[in-house]
Amino acid sequence: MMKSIALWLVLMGAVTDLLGQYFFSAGASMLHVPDWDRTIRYYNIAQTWQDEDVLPLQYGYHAGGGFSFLLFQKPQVFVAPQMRYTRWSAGNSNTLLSLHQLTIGPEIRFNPRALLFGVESAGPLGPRWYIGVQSGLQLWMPRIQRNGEWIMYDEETPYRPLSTRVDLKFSTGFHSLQIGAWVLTPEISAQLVSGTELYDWSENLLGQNIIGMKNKATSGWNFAAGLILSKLKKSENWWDRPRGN
Amino acid sequence: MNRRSFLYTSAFGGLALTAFPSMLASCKDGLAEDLRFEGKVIVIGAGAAGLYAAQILLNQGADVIVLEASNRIGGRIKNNSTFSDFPIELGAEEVHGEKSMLYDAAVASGAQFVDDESTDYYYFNGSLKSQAEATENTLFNTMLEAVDGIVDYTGGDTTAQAYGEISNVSDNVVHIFNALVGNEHGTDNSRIGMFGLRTEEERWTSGDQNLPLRNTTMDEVIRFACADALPIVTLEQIVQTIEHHSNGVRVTTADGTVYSADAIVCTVPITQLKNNSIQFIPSLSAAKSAAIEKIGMDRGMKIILQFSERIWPSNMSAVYGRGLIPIFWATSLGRSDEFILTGFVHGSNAEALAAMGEQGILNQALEELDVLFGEASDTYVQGLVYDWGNEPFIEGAYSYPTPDMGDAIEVLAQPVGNRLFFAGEASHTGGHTSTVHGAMETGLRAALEVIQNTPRQ
Repeated sequence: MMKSIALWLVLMGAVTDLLGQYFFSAGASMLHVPDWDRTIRYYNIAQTWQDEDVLPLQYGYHAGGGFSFLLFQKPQVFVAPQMRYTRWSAGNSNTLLSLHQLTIGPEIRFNPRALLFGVESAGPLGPRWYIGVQSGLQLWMPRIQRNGEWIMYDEETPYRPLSTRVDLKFSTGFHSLQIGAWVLTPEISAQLVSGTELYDWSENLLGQNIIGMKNKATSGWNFAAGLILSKLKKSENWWDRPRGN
Repeated sequence: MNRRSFLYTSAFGGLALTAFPSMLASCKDGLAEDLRFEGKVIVIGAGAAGLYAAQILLNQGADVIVLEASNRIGGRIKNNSTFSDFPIELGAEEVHGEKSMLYDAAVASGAQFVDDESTDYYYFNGSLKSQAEATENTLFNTMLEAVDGIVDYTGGDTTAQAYGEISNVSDNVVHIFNALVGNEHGTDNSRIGMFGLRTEEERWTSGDQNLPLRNTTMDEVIRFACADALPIVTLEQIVQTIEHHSNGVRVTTADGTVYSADAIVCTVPITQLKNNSIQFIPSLSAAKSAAIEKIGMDRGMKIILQFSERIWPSNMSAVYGRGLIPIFWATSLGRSDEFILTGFVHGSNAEALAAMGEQGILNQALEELDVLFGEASDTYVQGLVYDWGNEPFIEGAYSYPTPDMGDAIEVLAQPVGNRLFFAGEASHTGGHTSTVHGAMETGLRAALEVIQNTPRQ
């Protein structure tokens, strides 16, 4: 099994190395879904004996990776299939909430002026600056730990429902630093969290479905900031000037 | 890195590090503001719902007073600490499920739960059978299937008794069926409605375990969860009228005291609304009054019996008999070396027992235990009957759904305007009626309704 996985990774790596460039990303994520925040606030209100509140599920971190292809040279467009895992958590001495998100999908990256007028007319920031639009799949999974034990549906079934949504993410970044074949790119993004369901979340947190609490939350946003580390095929970048091919 | 790259990197990094935290912090502050409430609120009733609502409102900035008609707090939570070497719950006894605020409060207060390997016993076909033995009997299993099938019931809103008949529950085990369904829900099978039972099964979310407290009492847990509300309870304030208008509310008590406030949370038991012990001005709507009438609440009692030795099997948690008292459980199991059973009876059986007087009830209980175990009367030490039907300002055990009740619970739970709110176990719309945690959850709901609906001054 492990040999098969290793072989698959080597093959994928070889193919990708021929066609595009790897990148790895990591950073901080900040989630803002008012309904989920409200559920936690009601929980805090209900825990009358608790001095320490559970903070809303806002602050998290993400890590991911993918590879980027130059789809067209003229107009210059990159496509970057990628996967990103994000985890948010919050808690106090008796409750730990965690929310896990996996996004999978291709991101289209382009410099608007380079797209319209060519790389030579990429504007004051040059083609190092890009805008990204990603669409794919969001997978969400909440978990709740109370008094050191994970909430369970029953004795054998842990509470960890999966819900899916179409992913839509907007990002912008700047290829700012190149050291040899490695390029460092700060990126910020805003991802739409569209009516995502965390099944039975308020029931399991509050013990009931209270006013305004339902499975399907209103839409919100996930803002992220991080760094992308890309490995070029060769020790030359491909955004400062058109490639010769 | 050249100068331009440095500037761009700094700009992106600076934006990421400053703009987003500030934006989200402002979102959080905005949410925090809308749950403050600095108005004045009168909570009527110092049971679990009232105390919890009061505690939550206090925490959110409200000026709260709690008016309690009786001379004690707790409502249907009460214990006797003199009968045995451990406190015996005369009212609510178990934490139902581990996914509730009550469970959290109990754990936070240091409570431990009785955890043992006990089993239930059943008397039918002329003999006592363990759970394992009973489940070898076809009639018993058919009865259990009927109990389990309540959640899938598709017929009309009839009684559980009628449902038992169409489910072919045998006369040999129908007393167990009654104990598991009607008596468990505060009445008997001839009075309880199938739609309400099914709804409760469907909506129940607090977990399946029944957890008796081992080292503390329900009263202590509620006092722990509502500690700040205890000093603001005024006892022996019998509310006679509630005036509710668009500009405020006013309560008048039997001794003539008048209290004014911005909002009222009324948590009195459904029996007190049924018998019009409180006059609402203006009157409650016809729909609300009809809803109150449709929700049932019967007499219920606990019969506590102490024996000099254990007459029941050592692994027995509860026994289902065939007499007027549908179930006895081993109260002392896991808590004490004394030998104490609690009989638990509601509805028509409780009414029949009440007519016998206390000694008659104890004699009846011993006779029934003699049938089950043979030597009950010989080892009997003392007994105690606590009849919630005789409890002033409560007059019953807990609410239950009647046939054709419709959306009565939802109607009861609805606020009247934006100043009169209702809580209490009978008003739980999520299937947790007749429980302490359900009562607390309605207190939370009503407190949030006050905060969100009552006009700020």
